[in-house]
Amino acid sequence: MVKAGRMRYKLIIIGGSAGSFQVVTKILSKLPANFNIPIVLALHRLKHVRHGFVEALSIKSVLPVVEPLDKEGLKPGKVYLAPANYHLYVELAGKFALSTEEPVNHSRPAIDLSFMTGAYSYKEKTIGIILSGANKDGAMGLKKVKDWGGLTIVQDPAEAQMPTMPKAALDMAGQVDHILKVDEIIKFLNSLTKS
Amino acid sequence: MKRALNEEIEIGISGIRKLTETLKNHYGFDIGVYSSTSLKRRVVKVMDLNNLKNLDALIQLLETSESFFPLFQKQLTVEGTEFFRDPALWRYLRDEIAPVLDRNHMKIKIWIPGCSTGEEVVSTAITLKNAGIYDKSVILATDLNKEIIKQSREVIYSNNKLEISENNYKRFLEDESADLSGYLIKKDKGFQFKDDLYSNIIYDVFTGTENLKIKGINVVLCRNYFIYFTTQYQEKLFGIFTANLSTNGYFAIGNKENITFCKDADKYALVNDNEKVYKKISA
Repeated sequence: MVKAGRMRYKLIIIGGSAGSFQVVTKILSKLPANFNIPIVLALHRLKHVRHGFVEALSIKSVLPVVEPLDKEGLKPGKVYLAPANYHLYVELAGKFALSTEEPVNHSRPAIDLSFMTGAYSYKEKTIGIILSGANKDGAMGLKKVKDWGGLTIVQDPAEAQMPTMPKAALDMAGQVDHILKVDEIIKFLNSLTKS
Repeated sequence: MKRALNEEIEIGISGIRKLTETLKNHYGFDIGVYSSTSLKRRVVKVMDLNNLKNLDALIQLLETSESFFPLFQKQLTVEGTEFFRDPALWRYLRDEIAPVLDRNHMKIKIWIPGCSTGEEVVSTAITLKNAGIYDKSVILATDLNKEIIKQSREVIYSNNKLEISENNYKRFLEDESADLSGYLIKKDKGFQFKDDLYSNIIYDVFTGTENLKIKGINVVLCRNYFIYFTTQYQEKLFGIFTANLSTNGYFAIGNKENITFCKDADKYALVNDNEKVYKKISA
């Protein structure tokens, strides 16, 4: 069982694409109500469908799930979903910023950009988690989490519905801290708030 | 030389400080009003576009070549994304706002403060045509300098923008067979719009201090513009927009933008929650 030092982490960023929805839903359903680290979800989604995703994630989530507004501050115990057709940046002041810059890795929101900006802003207090997906977005971002001293987790490609994204993250980031199955990711996250 | 878009932003706080000083001293241009992550990404982009290997090279170019500055501002400006982004907004403009304006005004004045590459301007013109009120309308399209305005009018849009935009257009009209071909001119490497679409568009420079050429604006279309600025500057801009907008005028921001923290926000009523359209209800 993986242990993490308590109170060290201030930001969790989860990236995923195809095959990640069920995983994220499961994770959100198994977190304790007193979970006190903000979670940012950078998930690929249809650009023109703005409604329904937050609602779908909220059904089983213990914690409130919202799409942040521009310059909204990150709060512990909240889950933030990158809105459709925007990039979501995490800035130094602990605030979000949105952008309509060109797509990166054919994606807007791009997982790489949320990870890179979050890692830069929260340094070693960041946890980056890459889940199932059918492309390579997030690989560079996870490497940045590692470079800035954060903790890196990749969903076990053997378990992921689409292993391309976890594999690409492993290729790019090199040695990551943990390769975990979904249940182990859940145990790990739960260990962060246990005394 | 060209960096990947997801590569590290190498510019530190001290570098940005130095660039800020240079721009302020030489050109009176304050980049301190910009949102930090986007600013850094754009500065890296400017360096790439001009084959400058580091920030010092960019600063030196700005210090030695005044003619580079307008280009710098243009390259710093984020391009528009697509035509008819958020189709429901355009439907609201056509079905709800346009009839009210048509009834109450001889001349309808619409302001797009950051016209950039012109997507919102063209979408507005086509929507007003759809609503049958373009002939009595004027669209004021402004941006930081003449270079950007020129681009806004003359840019050749890449073909990959067409599919996204036509899909938006179909959603706007709720008609699967709709396309933009009647408005387009095909070019070698992309497309432009026909001249008559631009007949009622006035271009001008707006940096945040100028008096507008047109008084009593009826609609400010300001979507995904505030996101590039600090909240302090957002509030200042919002004050300027409010001062130029006539009572009962409409103000639209991007669906994830926020103005509720601004002092002037209590002069408005939210009339479309999904598309973030406000109506100015008091002077």
